[in-house]
Amino acid sequence: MDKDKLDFILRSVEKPSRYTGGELNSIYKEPSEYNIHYAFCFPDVYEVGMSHLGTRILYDDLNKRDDTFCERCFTPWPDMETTLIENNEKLYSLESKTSLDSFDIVGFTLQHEMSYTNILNMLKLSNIPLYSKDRNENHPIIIAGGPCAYNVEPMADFFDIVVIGEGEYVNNIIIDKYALHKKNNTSRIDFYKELASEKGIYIPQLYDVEYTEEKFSSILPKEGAPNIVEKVFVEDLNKSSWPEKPILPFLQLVHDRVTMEIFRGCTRGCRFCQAGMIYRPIREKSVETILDQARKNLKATGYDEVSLTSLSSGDYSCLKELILGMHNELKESHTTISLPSLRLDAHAKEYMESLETQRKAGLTLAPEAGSQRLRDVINKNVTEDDLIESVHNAFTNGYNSVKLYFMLGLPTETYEDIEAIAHLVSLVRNEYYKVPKELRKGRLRIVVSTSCFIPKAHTPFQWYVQNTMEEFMEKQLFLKDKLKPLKGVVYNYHDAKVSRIEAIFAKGDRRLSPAIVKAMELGCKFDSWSEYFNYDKWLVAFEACNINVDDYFESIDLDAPLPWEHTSCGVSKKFLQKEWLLANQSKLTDDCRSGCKGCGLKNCTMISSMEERN
Amino acid sequence: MRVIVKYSKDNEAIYISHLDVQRSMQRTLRRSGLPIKYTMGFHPHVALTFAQPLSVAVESMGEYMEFSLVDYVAPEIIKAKINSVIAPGFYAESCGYISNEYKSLMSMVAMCEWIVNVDSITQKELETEIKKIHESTEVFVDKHTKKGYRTIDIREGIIDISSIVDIPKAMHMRLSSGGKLNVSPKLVLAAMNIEPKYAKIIRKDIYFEKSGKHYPLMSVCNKPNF
Repeated sequence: MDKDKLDFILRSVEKPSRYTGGELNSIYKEPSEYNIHYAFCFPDVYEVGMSHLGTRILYDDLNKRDDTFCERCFTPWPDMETTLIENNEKLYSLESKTSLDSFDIVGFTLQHEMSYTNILNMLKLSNIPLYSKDRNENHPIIIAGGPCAYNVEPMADFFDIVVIGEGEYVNNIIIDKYALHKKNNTSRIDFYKELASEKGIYIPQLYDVEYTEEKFSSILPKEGAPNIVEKVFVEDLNKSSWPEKPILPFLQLVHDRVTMEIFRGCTRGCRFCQAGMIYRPIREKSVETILDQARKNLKATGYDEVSLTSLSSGDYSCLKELILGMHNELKESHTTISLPSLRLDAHAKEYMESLETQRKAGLTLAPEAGSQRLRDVINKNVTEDDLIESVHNAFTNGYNSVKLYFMLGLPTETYEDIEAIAHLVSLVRNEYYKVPKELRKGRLRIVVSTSCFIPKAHTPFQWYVQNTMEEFMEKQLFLKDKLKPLKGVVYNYHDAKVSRIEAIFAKGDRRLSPAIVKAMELGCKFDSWSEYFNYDKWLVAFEACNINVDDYFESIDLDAPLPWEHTSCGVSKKFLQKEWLLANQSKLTDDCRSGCKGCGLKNCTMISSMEERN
Repeated sequence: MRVIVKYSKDNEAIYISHLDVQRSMQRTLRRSGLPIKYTMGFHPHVALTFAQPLSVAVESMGEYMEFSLVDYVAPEIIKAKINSVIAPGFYAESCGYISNEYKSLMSMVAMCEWIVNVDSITQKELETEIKKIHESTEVFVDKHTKKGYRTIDIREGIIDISSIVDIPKAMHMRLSSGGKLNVSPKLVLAAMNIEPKYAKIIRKDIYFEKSGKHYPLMSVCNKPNF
């Protein structure tokens, strides 16, 4: 884009540094000198997208190639969108300010279903046809990946290539093949057919979907594509690509610190949790790798905080060694360590003091359900005693604020289970007043948040029918009433409307695509931002496309074919069925670390590491 | 040991807000490896202050920040260490030590020098607007404050305004800053009925006042390194 015009546009919008690039450690290459020009797109605003670790890993990994220049693009905030349109400009990349339609490959990350309209809007702002079938060899190839790729069907018609699994490996396969395709000038469809035989690559247009009596009945591959696309994962995180010099944004991010991934996967097997299923198996980085990477990241950024992240950081097998080692190294430079999702058990006391002390105000716990019965249903292996011990330890250590997360609308839930939430909160509250007055710091504040449970594909709860909006609202008001008498307790609850729409797409099929286009055309955008989410527009969009929303809230037979089974995360249907039946009997399944539970995952590193240990 | 650094801000960095510049410079100093003095207390951080915030989308050739070192480092080394790790778009132009007899940089600021390039009007219209200001004894504009808009007279704060001979549609301004009357180029543009998005603004330098005369802030340093 012309510099004067860009300057004029940037002077006209809020927070222009969202659209400038030029941050420390961002990567600049001369586009003409690189054969492959890749735009990595995050379908949300800059501050959210730059907080996402996966985006940073893949941006760095792609730029390590000497044939590729990978740039970034985020969704323009609505003021920027208007300004671009008014000035007759297309959406452009941050680094070289090239419009997306001139890239070879445009990749989107699918973090959650409510970002779908932003993806279509970004294509529209780039003048790229939305549907894969409407694009030709002159348009960029549109790729998607991320957790929602495991049920990408509602968006399948828009994408040329979908990555199933972790991108570090698959992206490189795609680019190697693309380089050959470009060199030999083969046809796009031949290129896609060739890719389809690779593990972890799903080419939606090579599959035909059939419906009988308004219900999904089958999805069949053609032209040699596999029946089931198996995910690909990185086996050894110590050896996989890691950005040693992460970009340091000028704008304050949602997560503004060095983010150290300490492991992938989770062994707990919570039945509602899609991440717990799709990111299997657990793969830990060694203490040495983490310390080395953290050291390099801090040096390259000047950050004063390191966060040790994963799905359940308290489960890291050498946590004490890691924290003490890191603390020793960092105390001189006034750098703090933070640990989200910390389990404050007895061991925690040993390293509590090494952790972040200043912002001690907040402790977050997620019991998810109020009663033991319901926690057993969802396989959240946490007891009331664990929780009380956690808050007791926290309160005696000077914490005065606790956040408690619960879900409403879980399978088998009754009003007794919801009342149990209020009971649990009152126990937490009592625990605070048991601490001698001189040890308490300030006033107690408990924030109780409830989300509306959304059954997700590839989980044991995929057969469960979500609560209706009325049920959710009734439950929220019931709990609000029960929490009212408790002083110092604040209650927040999620909008049931957003959760209903998200639920449609979480278990949706290809018939939904026109509704997403329609919703986008009606102006739906930033659906995960409450100020932009517009339920009525969504209903109008479904109506206009003759979609009966209720069809997506019908119960599904345990043996019925599912629209997402051809993209596999490795966990077998048999295992999910078994878990669903156990859930209905409130029976627990123990942590994988206590012995393999037979989820069906091939090449499970957990099994091999346990064999090694024995 | 108090150190002041004069730095420039251009290219994409001009779109960074003052708050973001503060954070960026703190991290720059942490990366530099200089023996930076941290604040005392429970959660120590780099003690860093700035002479005068700069509006978003304004370029500058003369910004100032101040911090302290616990050990002496030669000014040219300070400058080199900062520039080796500074964020793109920023450049430490010069630095030096400042004696404790001076108050904070911010309290010294008396005047800023600006270059303003206007796109939306003709050279002739611009000359007329400048002439109008010269001929008037009062110039009223609406100033946005915490309590909403307030009409103020900025004439006294316009120390000097003229068109630039060899650059078309450009003005040179010296405007009072800090203290009682803080006049930004945007206020002068408002008096001329020009929307700021049509103007390119550059801050040339920041000055303090001594016996009625203005001197660049950098001249408080004892033998600064340029």
